[in-house]
Amino acid sequence: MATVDVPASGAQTFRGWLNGRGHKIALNVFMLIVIAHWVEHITQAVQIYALGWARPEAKGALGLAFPWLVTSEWLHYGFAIVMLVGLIMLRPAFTGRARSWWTAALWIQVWHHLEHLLLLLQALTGTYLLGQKAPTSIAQLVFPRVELHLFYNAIVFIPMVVAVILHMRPRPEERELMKCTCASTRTSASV
Amino acid sequence: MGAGLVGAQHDVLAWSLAQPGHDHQIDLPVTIGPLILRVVLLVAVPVVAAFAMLRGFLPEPDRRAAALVAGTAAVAVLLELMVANEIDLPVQTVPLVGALLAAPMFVVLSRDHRFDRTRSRLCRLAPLVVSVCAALAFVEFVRALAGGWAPVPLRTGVVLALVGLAWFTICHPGMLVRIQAALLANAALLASAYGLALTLPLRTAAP
Repeated sequence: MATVDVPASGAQTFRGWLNGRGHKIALNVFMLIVIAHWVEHITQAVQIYALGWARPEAKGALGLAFPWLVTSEWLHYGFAIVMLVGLIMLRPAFTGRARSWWTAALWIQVWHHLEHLLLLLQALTGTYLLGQKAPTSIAQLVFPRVELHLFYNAIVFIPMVVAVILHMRPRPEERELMKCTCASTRTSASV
Repeated sequence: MGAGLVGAQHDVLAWSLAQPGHDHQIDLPVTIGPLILRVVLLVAVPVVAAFAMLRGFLPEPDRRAAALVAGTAAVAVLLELMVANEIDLPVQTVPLVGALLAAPMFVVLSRDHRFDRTRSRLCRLAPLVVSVCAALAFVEFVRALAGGWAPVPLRTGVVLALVGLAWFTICHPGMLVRIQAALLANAALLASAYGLALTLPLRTAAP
């Protein structure tokens, strides 16, 4: 009986590549973007706490040259979306323990993204949460914004790092399920 | 009627732009105005209320329907909090309200077998949460009535009612809980509509 090869759609092919041969490079690029963003938040915290700058002046490193990077709610929301898309698109290649940690980062980012969506909605409608004087996220009712977003980025970043380390040093049973080339070919570490 | 609606929309937009401290951090000259929040609220609250009222007459909801209703309740609470200038709860409790809204979503959407026991416990807890939220919401509604439709307890009551109705999606309710939820849904619908009307700018008659 003749069989017919059904060609995969473009999206399926790309996602397959992304979680196969392309996973290593895509993950490296994604982690580079995430680290760069996190460094900006840390720089902002250093400017406030170590250098004693006033909060409106503390704009991180790139924000000093391009202030709109800090003040644009569109940009913050855009980055939250990039993070979310990256976490979702790169997830299938993770296996075992690494997948659990990556999924934890994904769910925390879902919440972080919702907070930014709420901020964007307030900025767009000119109506602020509970009559506040500026766009305010839910957790911001309890914690200051700079510290809160530093915290959010930290609690997304830490499980991501753990996931990547476990992904690169899989157990034999985890390696068997992997379709990407991220793990080194040396003897795997049994943690 | 159409002209009146357009006029009201214009008033709401003008009112919003005239607010002090309109220092939104947005780099595009776009403001869609607060009217959209009220329109979405007018859709979201009836969806949640209709679910609670019709549940006794329809087959049990599937996962998608439960997720839709619990999600809609969460959106409605956020919009209520945006439209309200204050509520009758400390602002520090708002993250707790968020967590209470996230719990039914977790129960509905999570499929991980490691959390089977947690999901089962939350489902068993759900009728109690519905009852507690209903009791607190009715206290707020009575306070609002006693204060001549005071907006703060009115909105607080709606928020509490919506939290209770979000939990109603994950419980296996008995007759008493069904009746409780239906009453709560009606009260939330009425209070939400009245609360929204209170936020609209007053239109004075032409001399």
